[in-house]
Amino acid sequence: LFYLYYLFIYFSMNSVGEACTDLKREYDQCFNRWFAEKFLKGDRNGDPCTETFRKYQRCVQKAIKDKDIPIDGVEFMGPNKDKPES
Amino acid sequence: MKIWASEHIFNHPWETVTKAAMQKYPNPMNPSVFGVDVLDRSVDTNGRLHSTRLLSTEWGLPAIAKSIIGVTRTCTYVQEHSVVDPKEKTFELKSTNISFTNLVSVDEKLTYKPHPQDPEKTVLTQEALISVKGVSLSSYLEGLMAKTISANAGKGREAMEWVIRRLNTEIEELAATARGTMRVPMAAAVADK
Repeated sequence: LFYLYYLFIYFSMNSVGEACTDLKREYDQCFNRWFAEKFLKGDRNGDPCTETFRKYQRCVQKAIKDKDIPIDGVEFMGPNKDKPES
Repeated sequence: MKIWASEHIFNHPWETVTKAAMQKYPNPMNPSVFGVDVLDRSVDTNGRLHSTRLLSTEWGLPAIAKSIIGVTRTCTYVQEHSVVDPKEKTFELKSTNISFTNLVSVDEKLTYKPHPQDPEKTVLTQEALISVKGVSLSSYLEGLMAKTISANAGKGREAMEWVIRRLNTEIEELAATARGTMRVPMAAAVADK
């Protein structure tokens, strides 16, 4: 299992916010397991990942604001705004 | 405006391909994608999973770019909205660039569905709509971009096969570890790293 931990880290993606990468990986691990073992098999019993998602989101939203990334029409950014010039 | 489309068949069932497509990055065929973030995710009243994701890519530009725009590495961002319908067995992804929108617009749509004749296979249909703005060479540039998208589509399919193999390997290794047969060689592999 120790080896699998290294395998997991090697094959993982980063977040756009470097500080968010650990939170992202924790969320991804939870989501990928739920997606494969529950969702795709028709199990509609709730999502066990809402807490890890919330923590990860707080971090990502901050990174997106800091980096001025022009996200379009996503609810957490508030009312829709025009695509800015890049 | 340029339209590009292609169709490809994977020799894997739809669930396998969908799981792999959800975890497509990182992979060695798309090294410029350095970040993938989920911005929003929910299940709708029809049981379909909606996800909004941000893909961060970094391109190394030729040295001449530095004298013009002051940087040789530039981040471009793509926003993707996808829907997985586990009952109908469809996975549809739509993406659009949110960087350089004043210069170019690249919209892509990918759909994964079981092969109508063979449930052990999956069909991927891929379309892209490219528009280069305000440049007199626009149709030439659009042609160039369509060629790049076509070449990248090949890489994308290789990437999917790579992710599927990786996921299958992880499952086999989990099973072997559970049987207790891999403890010694794994300790050696870890020591190597």
